[in-house]
Amino acid sequence: MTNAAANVPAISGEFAELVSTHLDELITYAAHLVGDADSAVEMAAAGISHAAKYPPAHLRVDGSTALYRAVTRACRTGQRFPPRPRGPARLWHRSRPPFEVEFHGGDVAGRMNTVKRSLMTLPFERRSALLLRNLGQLSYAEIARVLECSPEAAARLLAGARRQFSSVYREIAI
Amino acid sequence: MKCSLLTLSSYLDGELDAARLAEVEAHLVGCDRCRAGLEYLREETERFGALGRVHVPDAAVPGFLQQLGLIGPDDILPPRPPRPPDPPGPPGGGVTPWRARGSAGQALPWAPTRPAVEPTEAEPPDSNQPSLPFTDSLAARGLRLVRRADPDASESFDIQLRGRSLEVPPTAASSELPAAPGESAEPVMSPADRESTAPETPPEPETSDELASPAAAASTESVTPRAPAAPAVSAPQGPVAPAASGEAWPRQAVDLEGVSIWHLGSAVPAAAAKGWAGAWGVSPPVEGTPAPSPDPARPGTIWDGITYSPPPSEARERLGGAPPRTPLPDSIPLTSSPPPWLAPTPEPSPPSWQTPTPRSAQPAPPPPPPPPPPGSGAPPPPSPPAVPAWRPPSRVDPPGSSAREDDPWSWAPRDDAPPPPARVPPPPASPPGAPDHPPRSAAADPTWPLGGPDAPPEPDGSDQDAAPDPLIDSVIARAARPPQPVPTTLISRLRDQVALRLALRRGAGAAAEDTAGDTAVAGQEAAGRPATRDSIGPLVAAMRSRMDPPNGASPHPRPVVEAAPTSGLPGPDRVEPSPWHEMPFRTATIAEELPRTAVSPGVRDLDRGPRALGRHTRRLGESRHRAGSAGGSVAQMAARFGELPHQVRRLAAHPRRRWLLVAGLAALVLIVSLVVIHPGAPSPVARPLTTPAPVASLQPSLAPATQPATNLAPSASSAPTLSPAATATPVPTPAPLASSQSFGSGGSGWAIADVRYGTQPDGDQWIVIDFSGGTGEPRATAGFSSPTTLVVTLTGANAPSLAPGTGGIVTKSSATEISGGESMVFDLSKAVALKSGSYTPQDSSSPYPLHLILDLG
Repeated sequence: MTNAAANVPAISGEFAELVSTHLDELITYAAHLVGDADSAVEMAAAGISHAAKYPPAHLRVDGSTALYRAVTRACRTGQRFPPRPRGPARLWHRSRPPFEVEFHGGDVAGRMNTVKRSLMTLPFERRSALLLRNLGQLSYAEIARVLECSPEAAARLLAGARRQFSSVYREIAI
Repeated sequence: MKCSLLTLSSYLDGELDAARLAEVEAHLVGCDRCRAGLEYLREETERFGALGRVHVPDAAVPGFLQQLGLIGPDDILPPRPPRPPDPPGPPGGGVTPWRARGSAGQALPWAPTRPAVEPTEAEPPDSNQPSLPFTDSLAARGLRLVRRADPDASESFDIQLRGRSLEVPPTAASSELPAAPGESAEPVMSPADRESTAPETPPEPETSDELASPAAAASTESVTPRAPAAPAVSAPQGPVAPAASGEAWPRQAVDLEGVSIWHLGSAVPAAAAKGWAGAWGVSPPVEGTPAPSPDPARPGTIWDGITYSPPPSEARERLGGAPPRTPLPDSIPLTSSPPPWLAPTPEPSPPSWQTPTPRSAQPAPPPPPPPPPPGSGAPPPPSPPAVPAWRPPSRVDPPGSSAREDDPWSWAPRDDAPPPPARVPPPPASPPGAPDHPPRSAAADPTWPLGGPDAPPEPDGSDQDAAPDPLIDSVIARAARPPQPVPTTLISRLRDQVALRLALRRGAGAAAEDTAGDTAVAGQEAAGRPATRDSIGPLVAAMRSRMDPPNGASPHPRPVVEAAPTSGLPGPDRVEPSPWHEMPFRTATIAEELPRTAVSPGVRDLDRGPRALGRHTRRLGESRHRAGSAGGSVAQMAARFGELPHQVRRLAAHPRRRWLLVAGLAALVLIVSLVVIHPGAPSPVARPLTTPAPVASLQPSLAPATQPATNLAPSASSAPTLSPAATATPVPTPAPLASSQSFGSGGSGWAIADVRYGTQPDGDQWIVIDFSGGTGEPRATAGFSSPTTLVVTLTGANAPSLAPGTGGIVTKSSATEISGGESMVFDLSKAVALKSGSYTPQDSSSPYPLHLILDLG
């Protein structure tokens, strides 16, 4: 029996360098997308791991977009790295050491609770589109590649997300 | 360009092309709504930009990637780009515009009604736990900390404000900050990134500030602003000069009379000091009170020196003054007064049954009269039964009053009555010499079980446990006593009469022919008298008579409901009463109800006869379809068909089914009318149409005129030849014409030479039919079979080879020969009305001596 994973060529430093460059943005995006820091790290790691196993064909073209797409897919499906065992395996599962990362909140992070609460009321697709645009500063084409839709659909997602977010935010803020 | 959020969103993101961009910018010049929306979008985008960022230290990245399997232990990653600075916060410090404008009283049209919640002391955060940007609560309010000069102030300490560590460099003993006038402590510097929200905003109940008190061991611990009696926020009269302390000061400080607020960013307007203090749970001390002395057992407590001085009245007036904190609207004040039902009842008021008293003014029940002295010669009043004493407090019955005749429910408790008093102890045992009292009658005392002169004294409410439940007692009282008969009124009598008649009509049918005594069931004489044997007997007898009609009388006489006979004598149709038990009571069958006429021979009485079975049942040993009984099947079908009227009648008997039947018939008629009477169908026999050029004027055309002229002779000769052919062809049935008009007195022998079309100066469309060779005026009938179809029928004129042609508004035309005349159909391009039609005077000199002019408006 052949091990398909063994035939995968070794990950070049290019991918690792790409990951290290955009790691902060990816985890920040995952954190605000999921709402939980620990889960965000695990899901971002799962996405990166999946992208490392199955590198996208247009990695050099997409660049960070491919990473965003992998992280988004992991957040949508709830994949974690390391994967949490299910069933009896949990009894003898030895958890890996947690990722040692530091979080530095913004100066006005305390005042952003309303923003976060409003964000969590949005659907996943709209929330991701809003975060990709406002946090990741991705273009409509890149958002479309991340969300696997057309640029027009991405624009509509973004507009709908802004409309819904503004209404929810004003309602919560008052 | 239409106002569209999608367009604005794309414009904000710069995703529009040049042409679209110019169009949007031009639109924004004149559209205020889009400009406002764009501003909102920008604000929200900036608000998003201030979200917390996650930064992974450079030292942790290799380990992270190594765990993911991206790199090996010995791989070296290229240096990461420098971390970009955190984006600035949203304008206004994230404060919504309606909060930043003015004070609380100016921004909001209503005063905040949130209760004053004292900040609770929260647990100190775990030092190992990173402070996540998304788990922090709302930012702290602005505070001015006053630190007392501590000889050990050389040690650094951390002040954690909502989980964020704020480094406070040590202060030199010589560089003491100048104390503000009226202060005993010295103000300390505030860190640069201390923030606060609008002071007029009351704190949310779920948030709590955490202030770390300085620890001697340079460890951090969180404290919360307490609300002791003495401490208060210090109020320097002016901003302390930062140069004297040599320490960093916040970016901007707003000196408020009474409170100093440090704010990051723009200035925060002054807040009502009173509300501010209330928000913090700090009771404003009396003006002039000195600051509390520090606790020597607790060195280095920062907030020991917090003092507060209320602002002057001018500031309070300028700021509008915060409304005083009011208690919760749903707070129920506790009173020490006993419940109302335990209170002693007052003296009774005069009887009020004659005049209706409002519910709120129901007088209290009167106290029970004292028991009669024992041994008295007068007949002792009956003692009340051993039932828990309770009386409706709302009812006022003076001692000895009798029951109200017009209130049948006087014995029942009223809903608006207050809770009855507690149970009274049983009456004391009667003296040995006193005779036994008979039980009181219910009718005599409406307030049974308690009331009247023998009512025991009111309880004092001391023994509530032994008192029975007044609700249960009332139920028992109600169940034990039967209701008194209801006095009859005119309306009740009428109601009873109608109900009786309806019941009789449904059941017996001839019950109304009863005597007056039976009819007037609810009369004055028979108040509450139920149906007796005498009333049922005539009903049964009437049914019996129907079942066995004597001498061919109608077995189904219509029940005649007569009014109560005045004389009381039996009517002519009165049936002799017979014992009701002799005749089994049986409801009339459907067959009996229906009048037996000769028209409906197919009505079968299902309850009688040999064929009493239904459609879906059969007797044992009997088959529904007999062998070789084709006629039998036909007879069955005929019988079933004959049942249709019966079934229809059964359907019509039910009101709902009747409506369904009517609706079905109406739908059927409508469908038939739409299908059969379909307008616009051209006649099946029509001559081939021609397509000549439209004629714009009324100029007679010589060319077509010659043809009819030449055809006159052959047409006359061919007329008899054509007539059989014409007669052989099927004559189309004329369709009903709308707004038809007839012209001409009648003529014969005319031939239609030509048909011309023209438009008059006034806009009317004319159709001119030229006749030749005839006498009189042919009878012409013009009408519309459809709004755009004109049909002209000419009697006494023929056009064997005429092609009407088109012109004007006539788009198509056809001519059909009918018996004794000609029928021409003109298809119009628009709906017009036939204004008029007339024949011109005959001109023998003209080749067409007669013309028929049809004026179409």
